[in-house]
Amino acid sequence: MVSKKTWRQKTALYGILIIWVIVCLFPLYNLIATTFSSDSSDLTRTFVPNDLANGIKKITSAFTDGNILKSTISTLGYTVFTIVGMVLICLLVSYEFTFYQFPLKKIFHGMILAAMMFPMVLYVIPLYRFVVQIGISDTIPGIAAPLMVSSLSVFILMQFMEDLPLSFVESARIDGAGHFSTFFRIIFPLMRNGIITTTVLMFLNVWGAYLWPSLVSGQRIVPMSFTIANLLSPNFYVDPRVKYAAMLLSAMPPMLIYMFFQRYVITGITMSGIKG
Amino acid sequence: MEHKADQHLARIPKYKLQQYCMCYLGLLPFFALFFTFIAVPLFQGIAMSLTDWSTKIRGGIHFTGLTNYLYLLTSGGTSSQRFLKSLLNLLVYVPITITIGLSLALILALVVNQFRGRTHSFFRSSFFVPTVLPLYLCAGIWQWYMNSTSGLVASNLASIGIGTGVTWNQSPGYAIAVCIIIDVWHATGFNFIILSAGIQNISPDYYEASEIDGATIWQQMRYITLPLIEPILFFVVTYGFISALQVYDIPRILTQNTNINAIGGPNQVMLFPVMEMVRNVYNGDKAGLGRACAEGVMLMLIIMSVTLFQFKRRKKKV
Repeated sequence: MVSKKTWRQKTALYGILIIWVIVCLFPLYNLIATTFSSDSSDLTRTFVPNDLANGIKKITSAFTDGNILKSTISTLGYTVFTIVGMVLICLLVSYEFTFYQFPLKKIFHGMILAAMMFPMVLYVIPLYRFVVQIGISDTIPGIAAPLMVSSLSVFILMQFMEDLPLSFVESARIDGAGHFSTFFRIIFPLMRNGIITTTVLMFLNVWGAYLWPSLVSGQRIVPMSFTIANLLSPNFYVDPRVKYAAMLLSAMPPMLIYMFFQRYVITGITMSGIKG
Repeated sequence: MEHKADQHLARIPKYKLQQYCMCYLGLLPFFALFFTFIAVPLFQGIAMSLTDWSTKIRGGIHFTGLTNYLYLLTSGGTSSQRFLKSLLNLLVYVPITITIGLSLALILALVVNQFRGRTHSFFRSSFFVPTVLPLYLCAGIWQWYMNSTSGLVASNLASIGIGTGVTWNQSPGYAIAVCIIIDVWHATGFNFIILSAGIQNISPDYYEASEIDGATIWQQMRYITLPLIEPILFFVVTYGFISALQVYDIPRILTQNTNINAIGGPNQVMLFPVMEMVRNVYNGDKAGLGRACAEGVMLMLIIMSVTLFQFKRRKKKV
């Protein structure tokens, strides 16, 4: 947009940006370098990996002694369960809202909006007691069910759904498709991008969630956040490189998702900003 | 918020009762979970804040009126002192983290949008990396960096005279600074993406026209960009307030301890209300759960009043 910039202005601008890029990326690189360094290297100033074998040993140790393997399985378990359920129920809601008119629609819509204004911390205590009482704490459905109700997902899916022409639904109805078969056979396949965006965004959220999963689990289900928090606590001695290896491993799933689905992540965030 | 749906929906014949039933059937799974896991606990929390609900008692739950609130705000008992301290910490933490975080995000968004194409997307993807990382990981990285003996950042700061000889995680003031550093590092990417999208939506015509009139880059930012992204700025501020008020993960993980009373650091230097709420669940006090609910309700009131205040101010301006 601005074409005439002196080289001095340009250098200053690049300077600011490059400093922040370093601030953002260097810690991760530093984490990798320190994990893959020999036990005698300084923990503060190891900027080049110098002992690959030791790093692999630490990673193995993090997987087994550090409980990362179990946490990865648990966390993936409830994350996938949450997302499958959430996408399904939120898609249904946005389908009804987008294509149909029915009494009390405004009120239902208002409730979804209201849910957005009450973050989970406000009702987490009674919710926790309730989940314990009905006996589903420390199970995958127990952790997942409350997380499935996501207003943000409904709003993001609704924005994608509104791009679909109403004629798709109308012609399906004329051809005799029922209410739900229209949904599953026409709308569902067309919502590919919306579903990917929501899935990716919610994966990052649920994978990183700490308060709720750590409240309702602990024995059978071991959330990743819970494991890392315990590794970092001063009560037990853990080899620092095992700690860093564990941290690195816990970052892998979100980082991979981000690398492969970057476009969707950015779209989703932008949408949540505009709609919210 | 009016969605486009309502306009074209008029074309769908609104008659059959059967049709309505189908629609309600589609809403059922979501709203069943909504009522069970959000609405009911929310109201139960408000009701239970007026009782002596606790994990221990067998004899049932008794209505105690505003006792929990009075206890927490005025009694001077342990839980009361801790709660007031956590509110005080929040009062320091929230304004600083929002001011620093948003100014940084705004500056970065303004600067990055001076570039186009590959450069633009490279910066954008890099800035977003800390936001993708889970908060517990950000806390872990910065716990390492801010360690007074082996931390890269803390030791470098110490050598230029900032926080020399201080254990950051445990000292008054410094502990909150650590939380702010981590939050800014994590959240800037998010705010940056949203602000940046807002800036990109501005029509280039404005800039071209102003360039013909001889406006400098600074004038363009001041008189074109900033006024036009005001609604987005408003969203980012509101959202920032709501999430900063419920800060939990970072301070909790930095002061993680098997002794629940030690969470929040020595002298509660890093204690925030949500952490105190969770402590009340486990500490086995008489009326512990009731107090936790009362703290939840007070936090809810704070969040709601901040949001309402911002909406009101916005309406006045328009």
